[in-house]
Amino acid sequence: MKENKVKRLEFMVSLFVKIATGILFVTALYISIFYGWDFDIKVEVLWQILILAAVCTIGSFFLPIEEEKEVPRNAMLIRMILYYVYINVVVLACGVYFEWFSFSQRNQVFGMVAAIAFVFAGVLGLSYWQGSREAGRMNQRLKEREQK
Amino acid sequence: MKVTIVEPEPNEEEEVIIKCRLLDEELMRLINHFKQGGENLTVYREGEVFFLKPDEVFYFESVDQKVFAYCRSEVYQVKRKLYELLEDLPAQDFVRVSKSSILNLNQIKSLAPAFGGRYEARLKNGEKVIISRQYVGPLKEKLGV
Repeated sequence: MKENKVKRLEFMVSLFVKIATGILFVTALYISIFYGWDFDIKVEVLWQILILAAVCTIGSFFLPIEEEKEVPRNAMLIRMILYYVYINVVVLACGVYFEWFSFSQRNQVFGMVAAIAFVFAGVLGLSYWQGSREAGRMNQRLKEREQK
Repeated sequence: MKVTIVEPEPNEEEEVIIKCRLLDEELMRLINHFKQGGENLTVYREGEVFFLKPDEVFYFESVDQKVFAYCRSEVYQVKRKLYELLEDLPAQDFVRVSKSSILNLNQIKSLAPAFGGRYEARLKNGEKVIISRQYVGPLKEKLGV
């Protein structure tokens, strides 16, 4: 049980880092597109990015970790969709609250929705890449076993 | 170790009795050897009994409370529980990969990530077996990753 909590914490820290990196990258892109290259930002934006990354990470409770009970493929898909919806709601709500945009500016709202999709796909892609690397290491060990 | 062979009475069943202070690994291996009737696994198909070397089995799967041994192209029934099999099979070669299956590491062609933290094992006979998320850790451990 305690081990599961530690694993969950490790998973969340790893996800937080990925999400924060994704938001930082997208923020740079978003500000460059909508506010121009010379736009000055306040330090509080950095804290807002970290807060947003933390709130998005909390939603990862929808996703099971390695040691938890097996979730069927369809249930996993539903959880992923729920998590994606959660991220959209959180980011749009935070975006309005932090005054990054308002719902009257449609371009910016669409830009934000596209940015969420980009970060989500990026984090998923990164996780898949990590899985591939891990599989590569295991395949290497399997080859070594065969050669023995 | 002293070995004593006693002839049973005509109406008595043949029996192996082990007198020991400690059930160590070597002794367990011998016990499993006797239980399995040698190195081979006893399996069944269409009312016939067959004996298989464990390494001939690609994976074991439990379906509707029955356990099946999947070989290159044949499928046999094993009249034992999965957990019992796991205790008796060579630990370095066989690993549990889901609630319902045990996989032979020597028959894996390659591993690839699958949706939701799972992995997919592609076997040498072309079949694919899913490795559940919660069994990935023990598999990595067994492979020394």
